[in-house]
Amino acid sequence: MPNNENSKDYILEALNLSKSFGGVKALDNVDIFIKRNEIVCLLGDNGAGKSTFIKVIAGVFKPDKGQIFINGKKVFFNGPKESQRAGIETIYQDLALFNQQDITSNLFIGREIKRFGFILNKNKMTSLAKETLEKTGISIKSINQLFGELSGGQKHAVAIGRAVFLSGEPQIILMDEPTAGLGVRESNELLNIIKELKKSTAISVMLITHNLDHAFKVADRFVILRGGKKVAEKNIKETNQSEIVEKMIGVI
Amino acid sequence: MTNKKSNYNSVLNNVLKKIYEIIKKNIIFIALVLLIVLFGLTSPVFFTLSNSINLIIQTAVVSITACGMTISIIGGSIDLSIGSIYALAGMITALTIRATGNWVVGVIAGLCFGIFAGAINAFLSTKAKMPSFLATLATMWIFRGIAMTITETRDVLIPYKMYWHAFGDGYLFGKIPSQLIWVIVIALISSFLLKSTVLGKSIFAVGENIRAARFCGISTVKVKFYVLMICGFCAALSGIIISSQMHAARPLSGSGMELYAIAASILGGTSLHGGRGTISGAIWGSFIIAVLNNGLLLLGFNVYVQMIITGLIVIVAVVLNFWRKGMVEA
Repeated sequence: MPNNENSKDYILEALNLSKSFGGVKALDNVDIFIKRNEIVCLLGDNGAGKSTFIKVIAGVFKPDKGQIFINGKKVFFNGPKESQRAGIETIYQDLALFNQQDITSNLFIGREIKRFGFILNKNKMTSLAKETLEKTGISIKSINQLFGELSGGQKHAVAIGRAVFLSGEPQIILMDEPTAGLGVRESNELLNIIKELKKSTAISVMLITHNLDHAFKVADRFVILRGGKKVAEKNIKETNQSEIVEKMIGVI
Repeated sequence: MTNKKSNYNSVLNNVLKKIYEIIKKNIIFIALVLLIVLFGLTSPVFFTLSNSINLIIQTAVVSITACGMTISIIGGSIDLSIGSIYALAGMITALTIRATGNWVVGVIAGLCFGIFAGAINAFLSTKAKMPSFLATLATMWIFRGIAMTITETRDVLIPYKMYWHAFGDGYLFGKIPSQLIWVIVIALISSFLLKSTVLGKSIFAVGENIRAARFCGISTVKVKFYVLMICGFCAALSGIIISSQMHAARPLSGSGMELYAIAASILGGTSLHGGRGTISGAIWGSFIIAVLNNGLLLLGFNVYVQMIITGLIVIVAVVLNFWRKGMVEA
């Protein structure tokens, strides 16, 4: 069990996480927690270990050392599906979805609604797809459009719809650079969706971003990594962009 | 006046653009119609009933292997060993029928071999981490070598009429060739699998983006096993059909079958990169190849000319593939 007295407030606790690739230590004894209904921004320069951390929690990588607790219960992930079963949904930087398939297929891939255990229930999925897109607030020409035909912002909204509304009862959404490559309007729409998630659900969000303006618009708390180690942790009210940058690049 | 002319030009451009898109989308049908017209005009026997039945028979074997190859390519794998599986499955079926006196047991043995061969290919390309191209290149030699060794390159006769009628030369209601029935059955099942099942969705996903498929919780190893086992099954069934038709299993049969299957699949719109394709396209592609070979034969061209044409078809199919996707090669 985690020994922090505040553990009962934490939806996720990662203790002493380490992960190396060959001779490179991508994560070095990192302790990170996420509280219920909290938005945490994971910040750091390139190579700081942010994506590696997300992928360990998402079940893509197994840590070399350390433990992960969800609601105080120790968990092991042998793959992404187990992480999803534990209530963790991940939206990767490139979205990890399929341009040559339609919107409905992308919303349900890997978790299709079936008849007789193996036949697709297309009608039910189409109707749920329409409802999901309404909930995300984006307008799309046709549900039969290919995913590759959507704009960046629309694609992100579909990915969020998949993670939030079509995955059982997610507790944590991990987002890797969600606003990268989006224009000003689309970035703002996406950030509003993230803020709305906190307001209208009990979901916690951890997001990686290089854009400090965006981070300061949505975050409750910042965790800063440098060289695979956690170097700082600040609530939004206790800090400013200059201090965050100094922590990221190691200026004292 | 200038406005009228510019409107006219704009309308004309739109019409030409639409015609171009229609041709691009339906190039296979257009090619097929042109070929049929060409051979119909140049050969007096092309449109006869007996030649039409011949054509169906020639199409059947290519169609069934093309269905399996299409599923495999959509799923991101390619199987170069299908010609060898085709031959060895025919041999195993023939030898089992002769040993047991039971053609049903023989057919089951042949089909099980096809699935087993697919599993070997899948094991090599997943657990042994060989690209499927290389893994199946190796098994192509191994399976062919086994087919030739077990009977020292001799044919194995299959003197069982029920077997012949079930696969090779029977007719349903006295009119429909049994090969055509098998094509329809395999095409319908394959199409249903790809369009209407969870496995079908997973096959498209793994073929398009294996990393994303894994992140979505799909077992990519299982999918690879399925697609290559299905491909092996289809190759085995084709081998059984041809051995039934010829009343004998031949260890050298099926050489080059993989090229026909790949060409038919690509001609029908399957993307070499994976993630895109249809069974109906593969059937049309098979039909084009069969019409071409049949027409060349009727016009007196020998089998070596057919080899040249087949090679050219593969080049054309790949170029068409890129053209349809709008990719330009430098």
